[in-house]
Amino acid sequence: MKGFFQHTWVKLIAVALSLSLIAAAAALVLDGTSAPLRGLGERVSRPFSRLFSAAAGKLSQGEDYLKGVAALQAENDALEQALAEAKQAARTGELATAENARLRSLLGLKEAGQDLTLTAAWVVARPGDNWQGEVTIDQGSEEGVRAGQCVVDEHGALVGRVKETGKTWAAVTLLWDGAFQMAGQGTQSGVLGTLEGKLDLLPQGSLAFSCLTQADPVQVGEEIVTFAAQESYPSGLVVGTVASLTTDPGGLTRSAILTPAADLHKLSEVFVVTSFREDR
Amino acid sequence: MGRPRLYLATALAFLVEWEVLTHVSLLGVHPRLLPALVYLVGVSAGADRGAECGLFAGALCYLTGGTPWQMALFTLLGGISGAVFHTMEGFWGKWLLCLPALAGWVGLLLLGHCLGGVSLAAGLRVAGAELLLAVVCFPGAALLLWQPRPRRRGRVRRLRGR
Repeated sequence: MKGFFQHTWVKLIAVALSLSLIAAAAALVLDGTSAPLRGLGERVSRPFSRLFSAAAGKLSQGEDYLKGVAALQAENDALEQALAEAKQAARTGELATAENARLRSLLGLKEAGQDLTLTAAWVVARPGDNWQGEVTIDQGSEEGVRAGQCVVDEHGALVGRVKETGKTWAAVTLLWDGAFQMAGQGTQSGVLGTLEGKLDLLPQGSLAFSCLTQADPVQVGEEIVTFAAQESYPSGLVVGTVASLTTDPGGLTRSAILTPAADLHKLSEVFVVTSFREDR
Repeated sequence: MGRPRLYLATALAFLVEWEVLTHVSLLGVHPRLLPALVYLVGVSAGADRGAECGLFAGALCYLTGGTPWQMALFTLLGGISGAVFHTMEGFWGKWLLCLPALAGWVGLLLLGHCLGGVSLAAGLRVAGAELLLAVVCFPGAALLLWQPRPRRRGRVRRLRGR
């Protein structure tokens, strides 16, 4: 037994285990202990990430070109159809907006609206670890990024929330991570629920909209947006669409499985909602 | 296998895993190259070098936002692979035996996450896919550590003599 502990590899295992324990304990007790190490990793990775994003963009363009004219024609037809529907919806919306403005002025309420201040950032690292949905971005506290802020993609769809920040970097918990939790609301039904990432949905790239009762009229295809009871994040950010509905094991509540609106597999440039003004 | 070559191969594998494989999603998970590489270093160059390579790989993962436990798990994988499976010769033999070694590594990972509150069914789903893809990535790791055999000059001379 004494000889066993004299092997170099056994000593190395002991050293690695000790380092892991110290790092894990430090992360639990002190906030942002991984900051200098992670900042270093972010600096090293930044040029490689930019290079890879550029190369991936070119490859994607080439792939689209190779898909051919027929596929593009079909896509064009579908887009024309969607545009016609959107125009119809916009006309209806204009009438509703005008009516809303009239009613608000009658009641003496302020104009409702949302004003978001966005800070652009690049995704510079994704841990290879398959057990967490987290990315590192290249903007940190120096740019006003704080823990708890929302991160959206170029279309305004929610990507995740800032978990931890350093001076020049921030760790973002993606929608499908087990630690992600926020309040959400159905756009058609108005039903409120909890948006939460679950490990069993992570391989599918989905998240759950849970705490729904059997009577809640949430439908497949309904869009879910964020709902802010407090003022820590804005409401109305698109999260995803209901793909299916399941009854929870207890049988009392239901959960909706959401397909995220943002393509979380192909994140390169994202935007942090650093401040916002909301009038309801 | 010399130390510079070992560190270079590990750094290269890490770079491929981090910059390329994290953009690829198969069976819902990203393929990983480092577990197969650490195992292969362990069985080819011995437990000491395996553990050393594992510690370096784990430290790189931790530096870039991974969990600190990867340092311990990779070191354990490299060390145990070198101590238990070092007798296995040949590419196919090593590939075959990487399955139990990597299963042990994934098993420990699963155990840690289950202790952290993850449901066993969900954990098994991720762990199974991760194990399968890590085994599939074995040839990639072997390619990174591959070195050409020196030419046998003696035989050439003898043939010329005839």
